[in-house]
Amino acid sequence: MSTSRFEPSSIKNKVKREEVARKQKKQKRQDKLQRRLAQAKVEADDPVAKKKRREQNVPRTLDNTREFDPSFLTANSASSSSTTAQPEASSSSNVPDHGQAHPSEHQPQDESAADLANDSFASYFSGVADPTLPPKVLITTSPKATRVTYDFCDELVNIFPGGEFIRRKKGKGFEMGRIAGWAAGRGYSHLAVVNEDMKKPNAVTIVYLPDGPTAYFKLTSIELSKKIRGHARPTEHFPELVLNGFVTRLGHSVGRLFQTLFPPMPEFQGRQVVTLHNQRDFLFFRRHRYAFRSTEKVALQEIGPRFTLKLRSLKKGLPAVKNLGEPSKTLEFDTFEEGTEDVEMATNDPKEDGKGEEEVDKQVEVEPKSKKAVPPTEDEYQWIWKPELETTRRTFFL
Amino acid sequence: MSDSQHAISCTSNGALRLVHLGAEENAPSTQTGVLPMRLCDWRLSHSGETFAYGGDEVELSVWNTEAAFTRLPAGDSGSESKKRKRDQLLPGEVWRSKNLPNDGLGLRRPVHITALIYLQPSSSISHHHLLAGTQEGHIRRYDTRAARRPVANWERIGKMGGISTAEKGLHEHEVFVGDHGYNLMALDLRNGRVIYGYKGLSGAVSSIAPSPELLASACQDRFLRLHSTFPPPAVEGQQQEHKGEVVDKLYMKVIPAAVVWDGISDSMRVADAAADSDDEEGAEDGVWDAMDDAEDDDDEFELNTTFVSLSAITHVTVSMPHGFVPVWLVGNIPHNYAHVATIEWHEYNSIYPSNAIFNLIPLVYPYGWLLTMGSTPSYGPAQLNAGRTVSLPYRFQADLVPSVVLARLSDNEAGEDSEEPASDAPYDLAH
Repeated sequence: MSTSRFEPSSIKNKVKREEVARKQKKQKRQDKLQRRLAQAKVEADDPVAKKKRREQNVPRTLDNTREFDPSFLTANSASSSSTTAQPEASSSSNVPDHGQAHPSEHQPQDESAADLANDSFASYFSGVADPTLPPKVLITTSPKATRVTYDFCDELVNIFPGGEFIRRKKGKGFEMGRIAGWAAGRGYSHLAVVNEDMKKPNAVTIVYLPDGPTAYFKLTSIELSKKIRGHARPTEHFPELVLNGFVTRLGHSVGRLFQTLFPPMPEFQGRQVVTLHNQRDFLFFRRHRYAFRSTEKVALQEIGPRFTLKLRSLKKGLPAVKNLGEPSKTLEFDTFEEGTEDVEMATNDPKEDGKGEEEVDKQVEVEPKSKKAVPPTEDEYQWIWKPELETTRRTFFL
Repeated sequence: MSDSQHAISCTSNGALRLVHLGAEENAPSTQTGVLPMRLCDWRLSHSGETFAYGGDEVELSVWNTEAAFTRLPAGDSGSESKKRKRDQLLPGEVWRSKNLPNDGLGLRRPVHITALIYLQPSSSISHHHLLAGTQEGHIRRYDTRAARRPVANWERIGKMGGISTAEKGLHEHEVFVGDHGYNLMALDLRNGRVIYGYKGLSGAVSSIAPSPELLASACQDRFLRLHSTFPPPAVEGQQQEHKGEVVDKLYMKVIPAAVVWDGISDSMRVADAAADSDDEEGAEDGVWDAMDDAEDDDDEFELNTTFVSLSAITHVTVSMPHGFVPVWLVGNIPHNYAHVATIEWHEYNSIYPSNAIFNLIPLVYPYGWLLTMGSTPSYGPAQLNAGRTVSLPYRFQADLVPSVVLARLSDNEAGEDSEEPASDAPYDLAH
């Protein structure tokens, strides 16, 4: 707006100019203060007016004006097609199932729900596993890690009820994909690899076993629990989970991945809660103990480490292990018999005699072996963060 | 042969199947053949006379289609198999490629072909030119008449994860290549250079479908994108002036496994507008083929190339891994921009264990019928839904999940049969 007041910048004398400018600013501040005091006085008597003013004066933030992403998963299918969709906080990761009789507008919603229900994490939610048993999580580091990372890993073991730490060895058979395959065979449900750079943990890769997606997060702002002032002491109870701000399909995948790290039935007696709060694609991890002081008031005490994650990539399948220098394989042919796997060698190989004719007991051996989780030779990315995807400051993906 | 339709399919463990689909069919007759295991891609040539495959330590091979079914598979008699030398062609096989010579360190180059297409360098149909993409990201061009080794080897085209898909573009000397990272690019076939790449993808490209003006791509980040395409420069090596861009994207609720173009463009739609009543699902006259055009398509393509503009209406059919088979119609686009809209959506209830299906390839029958074939670990018949259901029974092994199921439909009876599919026909599983 054009000022009709006198501009102090037109005064050439610095001393005088500063004096005038200071006086003007002070005047402005005083006017504002008086206005606000008068407003407060009016609103002290009239709470309705206060509410109205607050409703009208909602500030415009990047979260409020987030770019519309068609992969928003909302409970209301109509709102997902609007151009300014509000991000919804979802505290549960299960998308509600809609009824069977659906007109065509609801069909897309069912499809999203069906897709979510059929992703890699479905076995956790189907209730096949014992809900009182915590899912086993194998935590390890990048090779040649230092004490700082080991301290962080100790905290991680504490966070996940089924967590176990194993030191990472260096060598050819200890690539992340191979460890994942081995762990899947041993009954682990997750593999978490904390990567270290410059003597500090900087990334964590979470692999859902046996063949699930691999999520790579950048790890920042780590504060260990002993550094937090007035921190609480954790117990062995299974925590409750709060997952905030996962709106899009990708966000739901990440939320579900996180949910499967914890046992499905929390122990409320422990009064512990783990929060993963997503805001602007940053995931804030916190762990608290709560105590209800009254029916309305609750007190929180922070327990555990706090750190921030940012999703960088989501790969389909286990991490790849490149098999360079593998010997060549001959052509094989399959005999298509029911329930068995017979393999015949087509080429001339005098050493292997009658390998095509397997005995019955050998067939039984073949079956469980073939279910081993084998890491792929190349990665296939479902989502990678690239700077070119952030076309505006209001674009978020989770 | 001319009034029977048949579909040929192949799985990654080498099960080759030919199914004759006649007029009134309750039990289509099938013929099987045996191919090597560990296949990664299988393609039928444009005329259907030959097919080619390649895979993990499986060299690129071209076979004669008829011979593949009529001749006995090699593995039947054990004594003969031992005598065969490594390089001897299998019965039915016409040509097999040879690996490149050892690299600078004297090491054998690994063979892993992940994508395969037949090229048609001139307007005449030829079975001889092939393009293969490998897992290291190299693209090799083969000429079966010239030599067994590749005619051209362009390295490091697929930078992340190897070549996932390749399709011949409808301009001359143009081929589109996608890799397992987020790269989708157009190559010039004359010198193997990348002429432009598409930005804005955030996941691996699982399937692409070129059409005269647009390219559709199905990506692992659950988006179907339409891209604009521009022909390579007239003289090879010149600068590419116009680069393709992502024109529009559509969110699919699941990860799409395949996208195909059914051969219909603007000019055809105008002609059919009177003829069509309400058939949204596929155009009557669109002869459609999973790989590329069949013979009947050729004259249609000549028509199309002159009339197509960016506002072309194309049917893009995408199939989803849960047995949902939506048919997306891109129609009635205003001339200023290309927009993707859904007009009709058919849901087929599948009784497959849905998490196991990850390669459904849709094929649009000439009369708007939809043939989809999927793979599941325990049973995976292919379903033909055409108002009546015909199943192509195929049984997969419990522990072998074929990753590639491809099929091709051959000649159709053009135009007479204008039967419309029932939109709510259930996806029947008949063993």
